[in-house]
Amino acid sequence: MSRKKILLVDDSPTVLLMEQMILSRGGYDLIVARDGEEGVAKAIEEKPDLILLDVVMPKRNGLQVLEELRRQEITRSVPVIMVTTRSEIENVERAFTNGCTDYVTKPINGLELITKVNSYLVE
Amino acid sequence: MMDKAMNSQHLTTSPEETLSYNQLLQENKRLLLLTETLETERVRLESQIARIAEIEADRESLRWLVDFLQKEKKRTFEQLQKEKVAVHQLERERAELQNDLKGIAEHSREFTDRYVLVEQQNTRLANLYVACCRLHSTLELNGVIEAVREIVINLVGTEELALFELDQSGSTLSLIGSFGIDEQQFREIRVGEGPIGGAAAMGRLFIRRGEEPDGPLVNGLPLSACVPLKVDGRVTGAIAVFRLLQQKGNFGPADIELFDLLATHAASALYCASLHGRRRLEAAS
Repeated sequence: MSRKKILLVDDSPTVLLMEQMILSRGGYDLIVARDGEEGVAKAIEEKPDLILLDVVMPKRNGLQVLEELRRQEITRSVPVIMVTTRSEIENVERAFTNGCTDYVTKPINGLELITKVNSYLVE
Repeated sequence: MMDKAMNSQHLTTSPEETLSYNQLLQENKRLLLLTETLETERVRLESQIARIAEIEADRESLRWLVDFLQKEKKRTFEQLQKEKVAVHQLERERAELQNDLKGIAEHSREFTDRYVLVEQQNTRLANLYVACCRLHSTLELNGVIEAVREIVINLVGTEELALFELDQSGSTLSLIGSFGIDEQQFREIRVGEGPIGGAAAMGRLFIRRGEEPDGPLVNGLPLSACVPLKVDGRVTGAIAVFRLLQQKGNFGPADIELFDLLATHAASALYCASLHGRRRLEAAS
């Protein structure tokens, strides 16, 4: 059975490293993008099974990336988990309105992240 | 004819013979009557005998049925006894299985609790590893400052922080990096003044108390923590953490461990980056 692929989109090397450390134990293939534009390009190229998407990023922020992903046929149905510092209701609502599947807040709780990822990827 | 014969004889028979003949006739009539009576009785008796035979046959059938029912009752009773034993056995097994299930549920709960603890421990270790990796991944001062900022924002959970360096005289903390604050307000802090200066002077970590919703105010911002940076036990700077993210809550043991790591590793990374910068300048000049 082929391994599931996860695309990590974040401009912070610290967050990317943290996500890689948590998710590498789950047996997933991890792809990294360091800004919004690279995130969209890699999502189309690699067709990941799930995307972890930061909100605040240069070039394109997470909500704009999310809009683009939902516009593209190839990425429309990929589950997207937003990774955000903000838990205020309006930000979460905006993310869900734009089409995100779920969200986690920083600082990242490893157990919460792996549980949510597994729930979308494990059949 | 007999009467004619008798009549003809009557003329010649004696009165004693006539009397005997009448007696015989009466006796005959009586015997005929008796015969009819006996015949009726015989028929009655025969029908009774037939009835008795029927009753005997019925009685035999009933006796057979009673025997059969008694045997069936005995068999059913034995079967019931066996079923009772089986039910008793099943109830015992059920009780044992319920006990096993309780044990498994308890074991599962313990396993889940242990799994949660292990995952929390893993996250703490991952935090420390990532912080270490980031701090020592570069010798560029800006890179180290950026690493400190990212670590505090993403791993501690704040959007307001200041990074200070102790000057040569050891009396003033100068701002070298920040996020989310008015830099002008925090350009310099005297060692020993206020909670940040105090933490630097003492060389001890400051954490706001759990019951305080916000920490002491520094230039209008509530201070949540101040981490003195130390190389060889000597304070070289400080990290001030102001308002925490809304979802963060209070500091936990993982945060204290991270602050301890930052106190030494951030200090040495900044020190090495400064040295590296100076060496480069010297080499260039």
